[in-house]
Amino acid sequence: MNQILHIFAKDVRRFWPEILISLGITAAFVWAYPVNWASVSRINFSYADTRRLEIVANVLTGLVPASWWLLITRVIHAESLVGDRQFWITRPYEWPKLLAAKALFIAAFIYLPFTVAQWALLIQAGFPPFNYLPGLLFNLLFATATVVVPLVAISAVTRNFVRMTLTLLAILLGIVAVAILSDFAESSPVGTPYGDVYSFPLVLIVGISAVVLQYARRKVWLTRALIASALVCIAIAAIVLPTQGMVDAAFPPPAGLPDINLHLSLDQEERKVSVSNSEKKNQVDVGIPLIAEGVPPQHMVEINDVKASIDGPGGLHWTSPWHIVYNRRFMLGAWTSTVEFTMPKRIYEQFGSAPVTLKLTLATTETRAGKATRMPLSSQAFSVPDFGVCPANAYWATSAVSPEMTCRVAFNQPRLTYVTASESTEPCKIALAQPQQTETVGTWVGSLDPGLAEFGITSVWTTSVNLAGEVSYPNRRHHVCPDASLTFTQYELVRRTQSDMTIPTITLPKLKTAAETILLRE
Amino acid sequence: MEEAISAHRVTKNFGRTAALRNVSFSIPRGAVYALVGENGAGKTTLIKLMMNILSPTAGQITVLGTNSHDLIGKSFVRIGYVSENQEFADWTTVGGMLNYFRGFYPQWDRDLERRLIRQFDLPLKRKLKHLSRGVRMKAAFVSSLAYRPDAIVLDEPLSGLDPFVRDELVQALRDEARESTIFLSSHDLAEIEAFATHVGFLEQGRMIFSEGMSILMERFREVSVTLAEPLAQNWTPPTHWLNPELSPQQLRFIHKDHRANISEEQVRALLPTATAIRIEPMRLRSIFLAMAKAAKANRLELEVDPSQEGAAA
Repeated sequence: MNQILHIFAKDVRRFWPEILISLGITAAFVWAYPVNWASVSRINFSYADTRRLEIVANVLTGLVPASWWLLITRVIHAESLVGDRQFWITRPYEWPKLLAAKALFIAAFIYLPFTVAQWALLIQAGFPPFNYLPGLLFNLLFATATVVVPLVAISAVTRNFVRMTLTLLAILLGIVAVAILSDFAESSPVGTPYGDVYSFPLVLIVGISAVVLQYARRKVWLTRALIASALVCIAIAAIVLPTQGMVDAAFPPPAGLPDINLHLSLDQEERKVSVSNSEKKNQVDVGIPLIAEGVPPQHMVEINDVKASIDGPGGLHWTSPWHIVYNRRFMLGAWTSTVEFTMPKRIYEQFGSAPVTLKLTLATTETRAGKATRMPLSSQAFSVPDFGVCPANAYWATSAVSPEMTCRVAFNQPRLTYVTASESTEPCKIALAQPQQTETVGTWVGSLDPGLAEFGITSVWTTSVNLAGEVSYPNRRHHVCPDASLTFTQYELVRRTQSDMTIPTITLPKLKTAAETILLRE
Repeated sequence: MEEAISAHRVTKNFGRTAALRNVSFSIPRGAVYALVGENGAGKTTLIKLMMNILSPTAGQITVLGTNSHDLIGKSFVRIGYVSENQEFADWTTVGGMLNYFRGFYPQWDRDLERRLIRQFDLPLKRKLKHLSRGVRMKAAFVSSLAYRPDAIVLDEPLSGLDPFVRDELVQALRDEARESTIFLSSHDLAEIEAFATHVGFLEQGRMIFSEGMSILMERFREVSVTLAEPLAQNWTPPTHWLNPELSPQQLRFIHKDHRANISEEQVRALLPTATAIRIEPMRLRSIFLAMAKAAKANRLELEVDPSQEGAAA
């Protein structure tokens, strides 16, 4: 223990300027960040000052991890593990104690200020911190896996700050290259509730192993090889994602269970199948207009992913990979929607204008309404249990044209919630003077699987509750006035499964040339 | 006598380059062992293997009874190491460095530290990065002597220093490390001749000899022979006569296995026409140069003679 404290004290004496810089940045971040919450206004701050402070807060959000990078690199390199000329390697340093001293330094000057900052932000945002200890700990674990351990591991296999920075840049360039390569890969991103479950533990386990190995044996090339192999594994997984397996695991085929409560049919009356050039080279986006109905009351069915199969004349067949689908949620009643998939332009043109059979396989999630909280819309900030703190916009009373609340949530997006509000058809001034006919408007917020925390430098996130809704109301303005009735209904998972929809005969439209597209726009 | 440091058939390869080949030696406790050799002979590599900074490709080294491979952490409480190439904690002052190191050694002798600081006139408040090479080396000496290590390993500690500083450092070793085993590599043959008790000569990664200084000095002689008539053209000297230089009636060579009374008889037996024989003792520098020259000329593959190794021990 004495040796641990001895090395720790030396590091504190040596790196006090870096420590002060890091603490200063963290303190400034805690002071500035709440500007992102609409209701937190600074005394004597003009609109321009507030915008400037927002920029400062965003810069500080990046500077906090940058200061960690500086601190970690400096403290690890103080007893560099690379090379054979360092003074300390022929002194009675015991490697577990040296490693413990470095861990203590990181705990004291990264974890502790980070925890205090998160705590302070929770208090400022109106959340009792003790209720969010699991989220706080989970965020620390995230910070460990995504920032601290990788920085320590890279510092442990580099000789100095410059080399560490260059290595970090090389890794970032590698990530960019992988992102570009994955665009060319056959697989597309898919939406599963689990996301990437492998990279996080892999980085944590390999990173910690590399650090321990390097401190225990100082086998630089072996440790570098270990880190490089983990990075290559993650890169390969990112490029060649086993999407079919991922979707099948998350959305198991029905296997004897009754079909999901959703009936889809081709919308042939008002809309047509659309095709346009995709952002991806030599690909086209095909949009299938659908009518969704059959969802029981108090239920919601969401389409998460889609896979298309097309059979054309002469045995021509093509199947797409899974594609992610955003914001396709259906409730009681008939809903119009479009499901899009991407296919190679060359294959699309092979099908020509002959009728084809289209089969859509849909990864769907069925949910049902759970706990509901009702309360009047207040001009003051109000707390919604199990949701967050929602401040009302100051200008609602007079000009609530696009009623939008920016709610504060702790550590993560809230559980999937349907927020409804009674809406006036007249501006609020008139509506308040003489009660009007009201309608209900609603919007979806949050996620079915929010987890304990989403990694962030902040403990407080904002989520937008846009009561203009996802459905457009042409030629109509919304007025959600003070004292309007708000309902927050949480939705619970019923099941996730796959369902098929077959359109026996459909004609794919001709793909317009670039010239035709320009002409049409004009 | 108990060994402080020993090496057994140590080989170190860097890729395809052999830096050390089958190096063996043995150093008794309390000895002052000087490792000499030209630049690139493998002296620093050998020291790094001893200190577990590098690992041997083959063979093993034992330091104070511990395999060098296991020299980590607490082992260094008993070992001092100073190298001309060592990176210092440049950010701190001399006093700060000594304060810091003091915490690692339970047996740190504060009086000895103060004495050495006074003797070397060390500026305690000056940062190491602002010190001259000589003063840095003095500070390194204090930090490695103050805990009275059982073994002190010094890699070229005197190179590039002015004679005054060299004297100060050697004197400190003589006075304050009397009970320690000292292993140093050096080019400064005059300095170590008066100081070392044992000497090893490394040439192109091979240990040419390793023995007690007195035995070595006794063993090597410079021999001049005056001949009555020139030697035959096909005459070849025995292998222990190094660097023979023959003028028509004069032969000079280095006798590397000299024994009193026997060598002269040997010469007379091999050179019957010898009219005068002069046998003179040699300085370490001359022995070193003669061995280097002989090794270069012949690329002799001499292994350490086990009997001589025993003598050194």
